[in-house]
Amino acid sequence: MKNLAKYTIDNGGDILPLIIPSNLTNGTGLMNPSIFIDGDKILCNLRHVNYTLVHCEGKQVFGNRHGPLAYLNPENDLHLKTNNFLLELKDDLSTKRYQKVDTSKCDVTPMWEFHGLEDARVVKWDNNLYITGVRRDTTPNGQGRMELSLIVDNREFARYRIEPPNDKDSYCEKNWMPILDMPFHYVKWANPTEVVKVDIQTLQSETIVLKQGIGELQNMRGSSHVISYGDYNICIIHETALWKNNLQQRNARYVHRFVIWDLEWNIKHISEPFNFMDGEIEFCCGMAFHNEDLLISFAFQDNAAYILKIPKSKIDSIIWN
Amino acid sequence: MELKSLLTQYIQDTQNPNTCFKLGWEYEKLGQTASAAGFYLRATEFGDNVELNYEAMLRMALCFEKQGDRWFMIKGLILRAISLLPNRPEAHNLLARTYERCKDWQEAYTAAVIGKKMSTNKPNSITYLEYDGDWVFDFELAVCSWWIGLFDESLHLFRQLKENNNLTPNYKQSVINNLSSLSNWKSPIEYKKENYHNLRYKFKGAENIEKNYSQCFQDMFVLMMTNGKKDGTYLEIGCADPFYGNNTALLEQLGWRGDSIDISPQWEQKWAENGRKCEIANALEYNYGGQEGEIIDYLQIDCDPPIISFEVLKKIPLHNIKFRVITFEHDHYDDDTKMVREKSRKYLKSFGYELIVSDISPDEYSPYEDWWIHPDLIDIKIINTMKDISENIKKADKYIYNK
Repeated sequence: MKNLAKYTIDNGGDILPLIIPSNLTNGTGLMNPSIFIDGDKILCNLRHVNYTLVHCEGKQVFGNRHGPLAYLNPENDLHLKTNNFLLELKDDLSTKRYQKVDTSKCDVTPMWEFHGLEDARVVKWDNNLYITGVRRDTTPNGQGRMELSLIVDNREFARYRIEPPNDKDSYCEKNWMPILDMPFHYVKWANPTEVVKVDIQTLQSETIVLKQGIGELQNMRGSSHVISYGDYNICIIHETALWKNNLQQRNARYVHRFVIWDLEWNIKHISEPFNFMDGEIEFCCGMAFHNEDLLISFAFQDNAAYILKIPKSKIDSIIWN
Repeated sequence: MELKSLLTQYIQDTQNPNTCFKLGWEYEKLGQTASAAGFYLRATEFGDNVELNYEAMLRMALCFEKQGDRWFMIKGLILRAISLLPNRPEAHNLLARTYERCKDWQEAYTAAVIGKKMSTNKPNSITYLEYDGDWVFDFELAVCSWWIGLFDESLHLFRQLKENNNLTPNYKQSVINNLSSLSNWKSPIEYKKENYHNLRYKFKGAENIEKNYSQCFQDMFVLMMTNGKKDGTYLEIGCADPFYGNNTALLEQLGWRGDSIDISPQWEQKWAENGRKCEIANALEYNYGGQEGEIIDYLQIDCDPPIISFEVLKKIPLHNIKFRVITFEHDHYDDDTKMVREKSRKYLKSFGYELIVSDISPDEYSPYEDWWIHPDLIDIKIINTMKDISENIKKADKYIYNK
């Protein structure tokens, strides 16, 4: 399936753009939305970055001196800064309200080039609302750790930085996929499947499931939430191809797959690769059921955010593809 | 919702450059410039239409301009667009404007010159690329020539632009603002003793003058007309700086005395610090007194805008006071009404004054003053030597040195 959005629309689904007023963002990238159903509310975290991704696809003849893939920052500020906006959506997925997550209570002076909580997924565990993603600004070398930020009335009330379960010196832990139905549990790696449990009191994590890897697809990186679907747990992962051109300028392409586990975390199916809108850099940070439709929130080229609504009747054909 | 409709179109044909462009434009209209830039770039990479690629590159540049401080990328995009269609004007204009905004004046000036020469094709864009006509190059040249020291060219171009009815209101206002701030600057043309032999009239004591202060030899003109009078009197309206470009500093050094007034409080302290006295006053409300038969040797009127100079002139009790010499600044080159020069001439003639030299200018383009005398009070031989009321602009140094 080359283009999930096309398949979805051709089969009775829908796609909605996510936008907040540009005076809040200076028009720069809105990306990696994370959809979450909180009772009768539809919430969505929307990541805003201070750069614009300039990525040449197709013929790749309109590159710039940075090559086909460039993160265009202000020239006087090369830091990669992330802010998060929490949106509440209406039933038709249009935006009802939005507010920047106020992190002032927990903020400290950043020590590295990337500022803020990146690729945050929204979860509600033990009746508390969190956004959980990677933060890389607490050490001078950019060490990344998964964090949980407790959100109360749109303010970050507490921040929990989680140590990885095994390699305590690992450089960057990111894209752990929160398991919605298992509080404080993540799928840390899809294949071989590793499920970790975190303790926000001790800020430690432990591996509670570690399966044998299966097949050749073992380079799958985390992406969406892990959500329950009948007798299965499902998620979307992404795979990356990274390379350099003749001028040693970097380039990248992502593809995505659905992964289906049984309730004992045995992989039952890995779908064929797909993209969302035929872009080479797309990213999914959220997946949720709503009125039996499957909602998938994703970004296109780091510069635009969308929600895809897959009708119930087509879910199986898509995920078991 | 137009955005959603275009998004659906895009999804059906993700490599259609026209759809990508339209989607980019829709995002741009919403202020979502990052999204817009992404789709514009996609339009170029999947498209073969050079004109669409040209426009998409420029739209990307405009998106990044809105984001601010992405100049290097902006320049690259515009240059690439120029390489696609070098005879189209829009990219040349944006390049010159970008350099100007970066204060790269020489580059901006050169880009405008090249743009003006190269733009043989007409603009032809789907969207507004901020090109309003070929006069935009003159605007950039006017702005940038100033900053690279081509002051006369700058003022000349601004004045031409001011008369151009094709300018958009914001550019028109910018031209007016520039003229207002730049026109007041006219570097004094300094008299030096070695030029003594070239003087149009060698007044008594001229051989002892080391230097002067006026902008265009007004002080030397007064001394010529009064044949080097000592202990003269003056009324100086709009005196500004006590020395720089001042018309009475030299006279005072030769023993003249008089009243100097200006409306700007900034001058009072500077005059005091230099041992001179200036009264801060509104010339339109000033009490000029004037006993019947009173003679004052020199009257200067130099107020802004020129219509004020004329209103001040009418406040002077000319029926009581006779002035030997008058320098009147009508700023004809910068007079929106274009009436002050003629009105002032008619008015002064009605009091018996004689125009000695018309349309004095510091350069080739800026007729800004008339110089007058009262024929009852000036030697006819000097009048005959000094008189030049031909219609052409008199460049001050050429006039005073009789070149």
